[in-house]
Amino acid sequence: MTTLQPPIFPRMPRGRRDQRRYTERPSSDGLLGRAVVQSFVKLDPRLTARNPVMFVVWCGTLVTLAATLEPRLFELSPEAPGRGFNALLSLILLATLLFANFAEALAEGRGKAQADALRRTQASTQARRLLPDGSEALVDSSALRRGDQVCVSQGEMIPADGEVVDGVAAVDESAITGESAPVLKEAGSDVASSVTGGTRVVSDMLLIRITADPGKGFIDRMIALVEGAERSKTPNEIALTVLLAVLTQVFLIAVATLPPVAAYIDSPTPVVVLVALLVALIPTTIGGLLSAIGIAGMDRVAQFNVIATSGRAVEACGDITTLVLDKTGTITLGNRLAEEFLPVGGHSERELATTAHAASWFDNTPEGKSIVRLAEKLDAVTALPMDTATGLEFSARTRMSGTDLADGNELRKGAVEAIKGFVRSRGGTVPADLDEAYERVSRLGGTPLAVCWNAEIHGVIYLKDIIKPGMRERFDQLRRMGIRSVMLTGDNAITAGVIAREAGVDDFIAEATPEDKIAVIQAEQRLGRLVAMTGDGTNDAPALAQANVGVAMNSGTQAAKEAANMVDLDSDPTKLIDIVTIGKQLLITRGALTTFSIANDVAKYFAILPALFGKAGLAPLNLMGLASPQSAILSAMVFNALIIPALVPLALKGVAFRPSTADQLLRRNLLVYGLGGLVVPFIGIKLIDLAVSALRLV
Amino acid sequence: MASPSGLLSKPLFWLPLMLVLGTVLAAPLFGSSPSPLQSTALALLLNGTVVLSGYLFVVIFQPERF
Amino acid sequence: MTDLFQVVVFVALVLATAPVLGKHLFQVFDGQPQPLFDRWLTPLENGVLRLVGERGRPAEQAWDYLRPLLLSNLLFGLLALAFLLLQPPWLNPQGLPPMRWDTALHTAISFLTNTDQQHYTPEQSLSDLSQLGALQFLFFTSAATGLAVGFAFIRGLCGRPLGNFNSDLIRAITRVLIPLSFLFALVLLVNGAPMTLAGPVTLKTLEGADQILVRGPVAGYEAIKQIGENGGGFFGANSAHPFENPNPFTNLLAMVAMFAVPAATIDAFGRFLGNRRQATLLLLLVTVLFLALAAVAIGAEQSGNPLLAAWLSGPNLEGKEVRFGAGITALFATITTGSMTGAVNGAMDSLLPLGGLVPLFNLFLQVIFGGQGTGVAYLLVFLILTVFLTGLMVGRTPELFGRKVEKGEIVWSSLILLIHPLFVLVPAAITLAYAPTLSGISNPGSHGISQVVYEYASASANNGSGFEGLGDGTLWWNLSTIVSLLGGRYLPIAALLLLAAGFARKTKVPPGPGTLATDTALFTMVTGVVILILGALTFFPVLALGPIAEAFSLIGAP
Repeated sequence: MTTLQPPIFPRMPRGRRDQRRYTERPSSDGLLGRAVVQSFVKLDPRLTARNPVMFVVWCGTLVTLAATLEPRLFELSPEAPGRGFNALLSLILLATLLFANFAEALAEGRGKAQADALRRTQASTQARRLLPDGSEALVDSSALRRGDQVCVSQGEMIPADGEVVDGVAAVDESAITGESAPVLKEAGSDVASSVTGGTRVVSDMLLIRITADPGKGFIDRMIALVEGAERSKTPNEIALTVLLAVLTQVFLIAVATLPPVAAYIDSPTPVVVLVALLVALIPTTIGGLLSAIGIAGMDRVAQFNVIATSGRAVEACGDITTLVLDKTGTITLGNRLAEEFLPVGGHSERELATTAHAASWFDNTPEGKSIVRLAEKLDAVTALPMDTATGLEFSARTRMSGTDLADGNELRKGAVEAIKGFVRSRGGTVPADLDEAYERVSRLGGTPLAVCWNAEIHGVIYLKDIIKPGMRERFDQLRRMGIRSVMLTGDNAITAGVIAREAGVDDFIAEATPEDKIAVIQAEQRLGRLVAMTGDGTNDAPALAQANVGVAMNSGTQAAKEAANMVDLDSDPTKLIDIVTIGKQLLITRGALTTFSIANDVAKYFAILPALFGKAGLAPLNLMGLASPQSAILSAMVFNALIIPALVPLALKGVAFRPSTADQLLRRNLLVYGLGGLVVPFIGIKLIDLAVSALRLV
Repeated sequence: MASPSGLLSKPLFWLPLMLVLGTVLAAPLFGSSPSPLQSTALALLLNGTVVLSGYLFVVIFQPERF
Repeated sequence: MTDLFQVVVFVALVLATAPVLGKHLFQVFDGQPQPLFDRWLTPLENGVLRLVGERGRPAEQAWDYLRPLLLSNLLFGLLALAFLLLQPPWLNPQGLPPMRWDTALHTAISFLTNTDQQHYTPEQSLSDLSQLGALQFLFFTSAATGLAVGFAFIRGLCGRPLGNFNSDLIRAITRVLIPLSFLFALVLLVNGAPMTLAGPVTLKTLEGADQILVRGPVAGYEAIKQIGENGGGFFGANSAHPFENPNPFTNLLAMVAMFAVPAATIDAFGRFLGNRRQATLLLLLVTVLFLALAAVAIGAEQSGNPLLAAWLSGPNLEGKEVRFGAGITALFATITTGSMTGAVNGAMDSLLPLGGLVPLFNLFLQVIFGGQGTGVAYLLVFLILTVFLTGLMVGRTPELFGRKVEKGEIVWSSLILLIHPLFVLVPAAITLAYAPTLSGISNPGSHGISQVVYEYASASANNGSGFEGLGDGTLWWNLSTIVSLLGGRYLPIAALLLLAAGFARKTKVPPGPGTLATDTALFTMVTGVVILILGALTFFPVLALGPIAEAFSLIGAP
């Protein structure tokens, strides 16, 4: 074994990120149809009342409908708008409501389709439950409880989430990950022992201890999440809801107090027109799209094959200021290979290679195997009696592994500091040229492993680390977004420094133990930073829970997955960067549409007020030259309604995001959505007015 | 519906109550309307606006509930 | 030309005094040593603090700051009310009778809230004892209350504990208001403002009639009236009266005095924050907004009434003090409404529609330098709202000064947005709906709307100026404006303190390249646009029906 954890990402997708293909989306057949039906169902006031802005529109629609049935219900003056106008207005308001409902239904529908696909994997199966006396009983998978043991053999479906107790088998997890290559599952290994219900064993047999009661498994939680059943508003959504409610309240008061004011100057204000003015002013655009934006954000995360446990987690991603990453498997390729033997203390290279060969005899990690291969290449095969020897496993505490011979000789290899300690404890001395060899390897960015035979150090093995292609650009992007990356590694400071420089991370923690992770995260959080990290091992679970955003690899243990607030089905640690982008897009989309919505009000005022108060001498405010008061009001309302479906694609896809500084982003988005929000309605309302008067609607 | 407090927290219970009560109270304000139907309608409209405003205040102070 | 010159000198004086006075304010409210003051004042201040049983411990919760504020204000108000209701014969050279209960209540509350709406004629209603004991006393306490709240808010926004109200109140009076008004009073004395307790003089006019000339302790009263942004006149004519405002020089100083403290408070905010650039940008922003509004007002008054253009060219001189002229009166009106002072040196009612729109707009925004202490707080509330609206567009949960802007901040800042619609539009609508019964409106049409809306806006914004011409001494006006006065004063104060206390408790996030910087020209401009849009959107309908409709009617629109 080596000084570091074994390689942990067996199914890293290969190739460039943008060329990678993710799961095919579940078919969207019938999605539109269902959304249309849902948008009518959502007219139920109990549902609408959850959205304050749209509820005001709903109430307004009632008023205009009443005025359509009896145009003289609220009005005294003979000039009040007639039934035709009221009916048109009611239709437009109804359309506004339906469009907003449609946006939400469409976003939900995409999640539902995904949930349906997942649910199909959940079909009840028969499981062979192991009874205490050793016999098997055929039970329904829904009857399984936590702690039961089941036996699953080739071709059978794993009935529920669990840990492998015994056996080695290939498991097809494509149902949840979309990756068709089977994964090897075996007992005892930290990461490869967890299995998910609904996946299929394709070879051999597994004995599994069930870890989840029915309905509480991983897939169940995923279904609940993508369906939005557990969707609760995120903190930012809540704050925005408050602001929208306040704006609505302000405009409600402003409009409701108008009639007596206008009556004072003998300018009657028809109730339906006041309703139109109110609906035009309240932020219906963002109010109608707010929940769709949130749902679509979760959905986009899911498209990246990541399951977020809450919208809150996705939103928090946008705020991440520090990224804590493991070096191995994330920044460098998982497998480090032995490159060279550097003998010290007067030993020959061959002597060292032979000792290393023996010390790695029981080491099945790729590092260990590569040492054996390199020694064999040098023809330095050990002649020691390995059949009577015993292997010593690597542990994070001792940071070394090795072989104990039957005659009491102890062969060790491991972190240089650990071996030095071992040698001293056996009364040996550390050769003077060890540090030189150690530094040479470190400066090359490699991992030095010291090798000793009892109390005598024979030399250093140079393990070469390979940085994944494209990492530097990714970290540059992160830096531009204001995100600091911290690399954690068990390597010594010099090696870590070299790798950190080459990969372009901002900071590194060398010679880190798993416990250091949580300490690093806590230290960053004390400085007020929001930390994201990826992890997979059981010993990562506390750190995943501590981090503001913890992404567990699907290949990781159940404990890690439960502690994290996201699970990456592809087990690709660099994907955190994409999730951060989605989180940011989510917030930008919300902000952009809010700004747009409020900026729109200026034009709507200039359309409706002169129409409403033409008699009071405000006709000169009709800057757009709209044909008639009634057509001006209708045009503004049609614009108000149509802008919602027009912006649905933007709400669902999110505003384009290019990593850049806050100032550049602000400038660009203000120009597009702020200035655009001021100008677009002037043009839109004028065009609609032309159409309305051409069609002689009023 | 078991406990009275459960009943009181149901908008379906107190909403119509408030609307009717408020309308009755506000109706005299519109006594000059030509028809009783219109004065009732205007009173209902005014009262509805006040209730709607109250609802918005609830949203502002307890947004988590929505 | 002279208008332009006055504007330039005025702005230069305000901007020049801001850092000097700002440094002083910072030292006072940061509790830093001030050798010049400490020697005499520290024992005095500590004595007073002990007297009220305070040890000067900083408040931990908003309520700890709010409770003594409300208690002390209640006490101050009752004290003043007693003076007005009793009006004993002492220091009462004219032998004036006690005030009617509703006018007394309105006056006490109006001065308590730093508003100073006057529904009475002072020289015919108030004894010197009432002027000094009730009104001038409230001048100091109300301005000090405002300053205390302003700095408590600043402290909270900068992540510090709110401070101790009693200590802030006392230090605001001893170290800021008394020294400044003493200096200003001296200048006024030199320029001829009276300062006497002697009774009125009876004069023979040229026509041979008797004229009673009321005198009084005007210089001292006038100084704190302007410095403390109070604005309630010793005389009904307010700053148009030669005793209150003897000449153009004192007029200029009175204008500077109105802006001096709020401008300095913005500067002091930068020192508290440790980011003076932020404060300078905000100061420039309000200066630019002020200049734009002043230009509209001065332009409107200088060009005169278009309906009279056929017979009369030149500025609109109706309701103007000719010693100052149309332009300076318009400038004064912009300053007095921007700063929530409410002193006037001309008749607001006689301003042309656009000239009247500017003061009204100022009252709606409340940030064009704004009230004593509260001005900067409202400005920062707008900054919070801007950060929340636009901050999302950089892809982060909005942050201001390193702290996240979340639900709590939005609830309390938006509450402040709601105060005006509630306490201006609602009572204005009720009044206009029952105009014939409630009466008092002297003009039909759009101008009447402006009058009514202005009265409530002035009350709710704690400004105090009036569109006069309103018969506002009635029970209805007194009581209904009391609601606006109290609502416009104490609800925002509570909201500000709650906001600041919650904000201070948040953990600070160090800024990075992904953080939205608020101390940039771009962001400051955006803040300006948000202020204008949020302010304008709410009140555009009434502005349209009031001054804008009136303006169109003047230029003879079709």
